[in-house]
Amino acid sequence: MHDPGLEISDLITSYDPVTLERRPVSWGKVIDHFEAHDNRAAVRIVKGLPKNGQYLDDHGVDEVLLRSHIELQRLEEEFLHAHRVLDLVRACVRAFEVADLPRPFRIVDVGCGLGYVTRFLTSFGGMGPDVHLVGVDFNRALVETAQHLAQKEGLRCEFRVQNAFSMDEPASLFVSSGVLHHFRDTALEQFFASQKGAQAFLHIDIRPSPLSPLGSSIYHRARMRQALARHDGVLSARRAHPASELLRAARVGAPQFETRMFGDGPVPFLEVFHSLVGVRPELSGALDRASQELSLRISR
Amino acid sequence: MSPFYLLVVLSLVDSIFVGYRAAAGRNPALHKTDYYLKASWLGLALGFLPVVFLGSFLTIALSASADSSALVVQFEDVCWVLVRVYGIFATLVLGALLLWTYPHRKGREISVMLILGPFTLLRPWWIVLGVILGTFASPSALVASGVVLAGLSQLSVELLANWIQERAQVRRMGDWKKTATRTTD
Repeated sequence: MHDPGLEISDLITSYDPVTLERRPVSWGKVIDHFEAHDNRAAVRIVKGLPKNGQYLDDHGVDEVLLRSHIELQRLEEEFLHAHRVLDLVRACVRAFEVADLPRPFRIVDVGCGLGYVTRFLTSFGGMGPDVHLVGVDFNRALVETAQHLAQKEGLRCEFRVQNAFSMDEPASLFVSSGVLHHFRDTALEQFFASQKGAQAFLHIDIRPSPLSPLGSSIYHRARMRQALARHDGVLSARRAHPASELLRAARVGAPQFETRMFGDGPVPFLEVFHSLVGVRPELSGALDRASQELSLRISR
Repeated sequence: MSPFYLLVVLSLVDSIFVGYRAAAGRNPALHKTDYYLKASWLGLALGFLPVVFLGSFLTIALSASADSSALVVQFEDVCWVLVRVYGIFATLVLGALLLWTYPHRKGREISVMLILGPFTLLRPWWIVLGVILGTFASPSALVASGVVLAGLSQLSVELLANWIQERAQVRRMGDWKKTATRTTD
């Protein structure tokens, strides 16, 4: 199959891996990438982004990303995505309680964007004071907007510009939505390896199927106004990992966790997303019991 | 029941959905009931523009006609064609919405992926289809022009609603930037 290259949003921002300072991005290099992959739609979209000399304009790019993330939240709302996360987070938190892990439990939303899932869990999750929710992302504009929204909504969650895997306080549970397909092969294994300090992880992404590129294309054309959001949304469905690859990478990268999939039933088009959950072996029984109590079906 | 009233009802219901859709994907707040309610009211208000416009067109056409009762019958016949075409669309969308309201993820995913999403894309083409069929069914240029005006004015409701919501979104995003700058300072 033709390889259209990376998603546009993967290339139009760059951060120093240590300081997380924003680095200038040469729009010519981004265009070269997509021309090399014969992805004309992406070339057109990048050419239309605001520029500052030979570099992309950070503020202009942030505005496009902000709008794209707002549209992405609409997708999550329509598909009750945060409810899906909440069910699984509840199961994990219940397993932590049964195992009497030290409190507070810290749930860290990796690549939180506008923090929809974190804010939803805080607002509707019924989490007690023992649960601390933190959303982290590299993009300052998204994090500041997430923080602003949380303040306006009177929520006690927190948002930070930080690397989720190098925080001072250890995370009990790492959560992500639509992040996994951005990594491939060893980078995906490394992503799981970075979570070795946690008690569990929960990562939700698009479930690939023969129909998902077509479904995603129609859906994004209907719902997304930003050309970038449409392009990356459709590409996400093509780049999404099958359950077998997620389980393989998680077992190689983080062998200290027991992993299982949810939402990976026999009829692919009935499940748009699937979820990978990994827990420490000593929590495994408690998680399975909690999943049963909450009627969550382990599919693999 | 007069097909005029049925067409007005279909047009207004469509405009309410247009209002909702124009506002969707523009506001990342968690609690948006009021926001969507206002947007739907705005859609309804904008939906009266084509109704008033077409009503005026009809009034002028009838008052200028030598045989107004014959002209009414002609308009009614064509209205029935439009009611049938748009009624099918409305039935399918409302059926999908019923499935969507069922509080289960799979029901929502299926209704959104198979009906609500694709039908959003189909809507303008469905309006055009109605206009084409209505135009072919029209016995005179005057009735045909009424059909074309009806289609165009209904399509313009979406443009207008999007324009208004886009301006509102720009204002909101400006406010966030100001707040973020104050926080950073």
